[in-house]
Amino acid sequence: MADTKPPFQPGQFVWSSFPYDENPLRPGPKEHVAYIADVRKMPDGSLLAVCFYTTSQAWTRSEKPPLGIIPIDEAMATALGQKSFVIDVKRIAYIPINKEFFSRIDTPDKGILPRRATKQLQNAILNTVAKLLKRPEYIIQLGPYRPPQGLGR
Amino acid sequence: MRESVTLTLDEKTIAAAKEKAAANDRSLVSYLEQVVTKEIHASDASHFSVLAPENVRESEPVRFPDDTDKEFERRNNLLSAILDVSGH
Repeated sequence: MADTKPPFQPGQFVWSSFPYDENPLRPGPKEHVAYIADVRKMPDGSLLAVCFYTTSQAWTRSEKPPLGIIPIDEAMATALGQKSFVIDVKRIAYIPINKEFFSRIDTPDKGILPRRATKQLQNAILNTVAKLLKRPEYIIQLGPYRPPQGLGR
Repeated sequence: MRESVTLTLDEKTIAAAKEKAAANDRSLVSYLEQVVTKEIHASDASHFSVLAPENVRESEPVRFPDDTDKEFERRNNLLSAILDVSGH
């Protein structure tokens, strides 16, 4: 496959068929907004996205959210055209950038929400990744390009 | 105990498995048997992702025009480190 310009950039929120635990290598049955954490190129020039899961469950509780959960406040969510939601950094998908996983990719906006995460939020997300590295047992890796599972290192 | 397992593989996966088998001086069947056995022992029988011909470890990070050196390195280092922690 020829090299192609990445349609997505880190920090964007994109509609995707994020894989579910029950069928981790296949597109999920329902569209979810995914946070694009990274875009990588395979040896054949095709592109894959490293995505974090988001869920529309707002974090309204007063206590601190658990490790890996980043609440998006109403102001930011409104700017994205969404209601309050959380990013679940523990749930990572390694998925090809194609129509199977990003069904809106051929539309004018490619399924990308109107606002990208601020640099501050992108940094907060990476800070959370750094914390999760100390608790790898919490990390769930999904998608056809996920690293081999269960073989340990 | 030896059990029979039927795998349905697409052409791309078979081609990649053939290459890996040849690189390891094994027949395709022997190679697949080894990989599947290893995976079943290491995890559980429902996960055969190790058979996927490619995974994120073989990829390279893409650098974007608005990435500073520091941002690109930090993102790449942290997300690569995730790959080095054992999965489920």
